[in-house]
Amino acid sequence: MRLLLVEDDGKIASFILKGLQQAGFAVDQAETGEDGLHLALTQPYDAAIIDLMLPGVDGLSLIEEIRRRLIKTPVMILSAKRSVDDRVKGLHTGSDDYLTKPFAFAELLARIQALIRRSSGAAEPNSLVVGELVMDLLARKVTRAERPIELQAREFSLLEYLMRHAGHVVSKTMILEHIWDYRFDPQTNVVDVLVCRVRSKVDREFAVKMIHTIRGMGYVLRVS
Amino acid sequence: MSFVSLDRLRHTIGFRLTLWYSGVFMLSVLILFALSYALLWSSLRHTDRENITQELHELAALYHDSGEVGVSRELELQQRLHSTQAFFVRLADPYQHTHVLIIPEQWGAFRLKRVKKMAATADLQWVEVAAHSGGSRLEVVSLGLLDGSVLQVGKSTADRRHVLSHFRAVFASVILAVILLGVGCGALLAFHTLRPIRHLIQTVQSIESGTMDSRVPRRATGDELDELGRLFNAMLDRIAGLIQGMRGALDNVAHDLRTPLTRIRGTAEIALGSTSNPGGCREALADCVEESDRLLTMLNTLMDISEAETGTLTLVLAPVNISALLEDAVDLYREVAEEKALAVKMSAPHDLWVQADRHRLRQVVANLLDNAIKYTPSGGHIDCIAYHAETQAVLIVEDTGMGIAAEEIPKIWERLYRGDRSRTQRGLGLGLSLVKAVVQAHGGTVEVSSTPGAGSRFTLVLPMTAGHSQ
Repeated sequence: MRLLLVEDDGKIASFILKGLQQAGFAVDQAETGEDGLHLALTQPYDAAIIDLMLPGVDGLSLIEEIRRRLIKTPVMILSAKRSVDDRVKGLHTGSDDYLTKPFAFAELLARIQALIRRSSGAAEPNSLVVGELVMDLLARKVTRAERPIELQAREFSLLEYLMRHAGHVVSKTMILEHIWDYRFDPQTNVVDVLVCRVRSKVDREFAVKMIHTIRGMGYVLRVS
Repeated sequence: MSFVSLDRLRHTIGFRLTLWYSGVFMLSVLILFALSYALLWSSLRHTDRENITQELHELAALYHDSGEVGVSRELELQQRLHSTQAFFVRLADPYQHTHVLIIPEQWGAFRLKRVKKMAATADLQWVEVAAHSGGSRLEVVSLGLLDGSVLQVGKSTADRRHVLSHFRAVFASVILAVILLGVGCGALLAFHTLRPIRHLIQTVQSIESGTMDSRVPRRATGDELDELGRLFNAMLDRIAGLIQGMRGALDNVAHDLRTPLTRIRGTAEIALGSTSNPGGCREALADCVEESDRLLTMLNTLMDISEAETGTLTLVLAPVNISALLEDAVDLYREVAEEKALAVKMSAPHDLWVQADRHRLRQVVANLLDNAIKYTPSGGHIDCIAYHAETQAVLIVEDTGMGIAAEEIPKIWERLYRGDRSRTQRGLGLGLSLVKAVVQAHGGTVEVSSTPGAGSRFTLVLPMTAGHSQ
């Protein structure tokens, strides 16, 4: 998987670059809109991450130009502006997703993977398998080591979300948005409570725990 | 004055007003003069002709009584009495032989041919002849007498011309003063009329140069320009208010961010100092991330509150179903409430709609419910109730929690205020400030009543039609 990153801030670019490389992506980075455009026009990419505020050609113009040249690479916008207007404007220009700075890297990664999955048009699987944990998406049944696990609707959604991102950290904000469609942080830890419930059902009777809390980052479901 | 500034002056309204005013003024004066000149001329001519006619009739009567001799004697008498002769007199027989001819000496020579050619009729006939020199004219009337002879009497127009030329001279000497008066009055009028405009310009200039508190001086005349000044001042007041609000919000935000930033910095610094403990470093890093997230939430919330309070928050207004809104919020906290063994109940009519920003209103309700859950001990009840009240929607969140002390009630809406008993709970102290700011931005109100130890009740009233959006 090959990604294009257009970001002029050195520190932000370097942490995104490191994170993406650790996640197994090959990443080309450009610091200006012109360089970014050149790369986008000459190289094949699976997805592009483009900052809005760039020296020279700005992000929106860059995306417009890429789309005008009929390049279909999915694009994710990074921006420090959080207003709804900017979000809508970005999506109208031809970008596929919008992430506001500052962001959790886990969220960026999850969204990029979702973008690539969507654009590659991979068929939706009937079941998810992570180690001994198996989720039947059609029958809505979950088993771990052949033993059935009873989950309520919302617990099922959360586990499905964790399984789809197995091995990657999922932040609280992502869960809130995915499960409840809430874009702000309620002070009471509704996410913690739900994760606790799912964890007790998935891990309690097994010596090896699958759902882990990564302090400061979120939750991860993994084998081992 | 240089050419450039003269050119600029030419384009000012004041200059044009002055020009128009003095132009109209002078035109009026000229018309007035022309009219009185014509009147004077015609009345002088009338008097002259009357005198001539009178003399003619007197002489004709004399001729009738005592013939040519009587006329000559009368004329001699007149000459002796007045030493100067006022009239031209000619008496001719039917064969055009002149018998008597008197032309006052000082008049000089006249072209008398036309006078001599005049026919002898019973009517009065007038003719004017020019002098050989001096531009003066002779006005002559002739009358045919009974015996066929002709009597002609005339008078020079010199006297009349003299009066008229004097009149013109007076006018000429006055016209300069009139022009000056016209221009002066025009300039004064323009200056006076344009004063409010000049004040406006001065105010704008001083604001441009940074004196935000300068205002247009008012004259309380109530005219259009005064109204313009009033509106302009009102606009400036509003702008100043907004700037003040923004500045205040910025100060508050800067102040409120210092504490969490200090914590982050301190944590990171201590972790950097303890090189021997990798586990401790991880903890410190996690602390930093959590604290940063908190900081971000705080910043966003503070910005939302400030924007809502100063009226700059963008509200995306759309019909929002209150019942669905409450259901969402209750649903969000379902697991939390179950864990705490709290009974959360809701009752709302399904057809209750308000015009509001759905996302913001969800946040408001979630904040109220969040508080209720946090401060209600296990086994308690929380009720979410909504109903119509004329053109308003009323939304109540009631709990059986610890309640709020009476002296604390006015303070709970303040930013970052946290009551003594709420400090043990996780929170920013911004929830209720946001609730109030957002509800007020929607044109609604929020109130609280509480009995310490028995519970609190938050009542939210929203207009069902659109709130003010900016």
